[in-house]
Amino acid sequence: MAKVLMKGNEAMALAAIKGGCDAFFGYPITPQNEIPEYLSYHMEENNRIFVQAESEVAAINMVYGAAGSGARVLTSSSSPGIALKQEGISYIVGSELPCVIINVMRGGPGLGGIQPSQGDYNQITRGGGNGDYHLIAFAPETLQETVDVVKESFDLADYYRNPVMIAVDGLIGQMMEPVDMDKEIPQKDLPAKTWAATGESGKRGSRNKIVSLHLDPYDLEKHNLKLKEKYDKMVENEQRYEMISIEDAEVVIVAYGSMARIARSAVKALREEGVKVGIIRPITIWPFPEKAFENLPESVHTLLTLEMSLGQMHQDVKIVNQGRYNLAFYGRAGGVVPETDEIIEQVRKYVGGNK
Amino acid sequence: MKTQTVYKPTDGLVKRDLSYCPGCTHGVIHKLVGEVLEEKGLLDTGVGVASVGCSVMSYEFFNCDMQQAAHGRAPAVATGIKRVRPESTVFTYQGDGDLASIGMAEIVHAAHRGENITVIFVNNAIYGMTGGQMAPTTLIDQKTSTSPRGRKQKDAGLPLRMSELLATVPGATYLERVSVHDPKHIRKAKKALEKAFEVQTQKQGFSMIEFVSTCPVNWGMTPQDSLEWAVDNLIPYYPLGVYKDATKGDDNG
Amino acid sequence: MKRITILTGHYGSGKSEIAVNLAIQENLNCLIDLDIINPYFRSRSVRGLLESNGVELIESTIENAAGSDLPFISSKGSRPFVNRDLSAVYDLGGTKHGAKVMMQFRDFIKYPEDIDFLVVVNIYRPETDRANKIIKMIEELEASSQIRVTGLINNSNLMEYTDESMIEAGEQIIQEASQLTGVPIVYTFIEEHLKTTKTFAGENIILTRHLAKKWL
Ligand SMILES: Cc1ncc(C[n+]2csc(CCOP(=O)(O)OP(=O)(O)O)c2C)c(N)n1
Ligand code: SF4
Ligand SMILES: [Mg+2]
Repeated sequence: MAKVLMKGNEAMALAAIKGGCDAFFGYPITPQNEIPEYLSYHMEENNRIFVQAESEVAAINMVYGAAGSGARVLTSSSSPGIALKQEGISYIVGSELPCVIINVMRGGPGLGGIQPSQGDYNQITRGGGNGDYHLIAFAPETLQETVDVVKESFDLADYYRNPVMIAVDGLIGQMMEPVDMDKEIPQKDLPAKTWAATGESGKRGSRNKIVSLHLDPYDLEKHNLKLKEKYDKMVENEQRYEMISIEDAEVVIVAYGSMARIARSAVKALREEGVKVGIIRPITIWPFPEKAFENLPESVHTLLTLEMSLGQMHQDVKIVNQGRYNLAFYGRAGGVVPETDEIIEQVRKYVGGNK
Repeated sequence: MKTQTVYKPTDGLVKRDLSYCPGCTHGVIHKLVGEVLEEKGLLDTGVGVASVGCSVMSYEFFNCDMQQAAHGRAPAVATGIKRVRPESTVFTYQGDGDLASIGMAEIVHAAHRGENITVIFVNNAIYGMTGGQMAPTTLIDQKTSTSPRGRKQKDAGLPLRMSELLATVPGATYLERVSVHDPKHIRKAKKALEKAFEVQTQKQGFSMIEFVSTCPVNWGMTPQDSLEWAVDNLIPYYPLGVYKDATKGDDNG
Repeated sequence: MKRITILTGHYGSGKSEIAVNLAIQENLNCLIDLDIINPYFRSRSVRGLLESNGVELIESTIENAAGSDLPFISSKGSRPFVNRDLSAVYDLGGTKHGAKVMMQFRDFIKYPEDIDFLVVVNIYRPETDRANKIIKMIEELEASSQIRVTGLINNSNLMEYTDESMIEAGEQIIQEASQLTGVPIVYTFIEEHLKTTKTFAGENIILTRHLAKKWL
């Protein structure tokens, strides 16, 4: 199909419609406002549901209700709003419900600012809500990849009966890029949602209950272990990443989202000079792509984590590294986006260094 | 020759330009609040709570101690301040998205507890700061960026009247809705603010003054037209007046 | 070119890049950034570049806060409408929501004959990929700004992937809208990398991208 020029937020909204999203519940916040604005117009046109909730807390609980009754549901927000959704997300995971959550990240803490940030890494990968839980979190780099994962996320959420988050920084929400909105994406064979509380117990002949309450600790533990099996399966099957110019690299950058775009342009410039540098680009930040670090070439001596935050993903790099390589970190915070030259300078500090 | 001061900018506001769009009534309301704080000698004991909306930077403008709250939570923040500093003069300054949407629980419960604070509620029937989305107070058929075909009752309900709603909360003491579209109404609004702060200094409990306000930019009107639109459309739906006055004994019936 | 150019269109149609290019290439006195829709990639983010080219930047009442989403419109934006010595380009936010900001200045517009109100069209934006959609957009923009559209700009592009045939395809569709409305195509903007020898409708201007970063 032909490419069109899209703005990130608008592209994600359209991708959700194409991914079969039945209902959207959200609350305005910069820099993701184009998503609800687009859907306020186009969901009705497609005979689907759009509700502007009174708050993010309400929005995520509307998602819980709609997902529990079997619909494909989306909510979107930005960092402070995602913080408010955490309680609801914990309930949704606990009740094993599918949904898709878009987070267009901005700088924090508190009201922070509205410029792009990756400061929600911990909030997303560690779970801001209570209990042992995880959600698949995509951190795409281009609008094409973003559109593709938004569409695929609805299937993945249904497949695992678990929320899937699309975590992009504000730049990806706001930038323009050519995209093929109709690119084929992998599809899953999904069973009917026989568990959903659809209000059809008469027809069904049995009652469906959506709950996260388990008063007996042994029962709750059993439930947790069942969820754990799901997370293990996600860790096994859903790690996604891209390896860029790794073959002979001395220094390997670890970066995702917009930071990976900047790293890519730095690596291109450095490679032209013969500097041996590559990138591991996590496409999922949960599960963290541990597999990418398994068989790195002999030439590698340093892993350089780059973030638009101050060392959040770096903790995961430390965990997978297990003392094998030198570790380095560079990050900007508060909405400051580094320039390519800054990254080039960082890489230069470590090339030629030894193990 | 004797000189006479006929006008002097209030010390209730910091000496710097307000940042609001030209003709936006947030500016007039700031001035009134500043004047009342100054004239009643409340600046020295004042603690204001800025909310999230176009007035998010009001901590730069009111000439007293200020705290900035999360979106909708100003009445809870004010409660915290007032409980540990009962001699201070505590007020919040909140928009309609902040107070009537995300902050509904906090405002109702602050009134319900009879918290001895003063709430300045600026109702412009829209989310100004984030680019003109629908608010709970947006009128039927009013077009906004999230009600592109106009607000419809079947999807978004009828516009919420906060003064009327809070009048049903037994704990509230003083509630009045005012407008600032002409000098006569501005004077009346100032009286209302004076009354509200008196309620607080007399330790009589929760007071709120609701301002019918404008947002020329997001309404897509000239400042003059937006005042007329407010008079012709907002005031009929949001009638001005005192909605509750329990200062002279019980008015909870 | 008229003394005042006001640029409108869908978001992502390229208004801000065009505004910056026009201001610099045509030595205009000021650029007025009235974009309350986008929080990023606005012309106010290249203040230094504009000022070094002698262009005064007028934006929010809280100046130098390019990173805020507070909408605050500066009353200085009315100056070119009342002072006939000033040449200016106005950069509006996308869609009719962005265009309605012009209403703030309606009562200052003393010399409508000095004003070009131009709609930037990129046919690779789904909202303006057909003549009928372009016409509908023109009507919406006129309704919300209360200003008559006087011209169209062909800015059909897929950024660095643009080729001549895309500009031609754009011209064809926009020409159709032009014929149906009587609104002429006044400019075609051509991506710098194209180095084309062809000529297109209206005045042809080479577009240098100042707002999008290299790595975007
Ligand atoms: C938790 C959270 N959600 C959303 C936002 C985004 N936001 C900022 S201001 C605002 C609405 C402001 O509207 P209103 O309170 O009516 O004030 P006005 O700008 O109209 O004066 C919203 C939704 C936020 N800052 N925090
Ligand atoms: S956007 Fe509206 S409410 Fe905000 S300052 Fe401008 S006119 Fe006032
Ligand atoms: Mg408001």
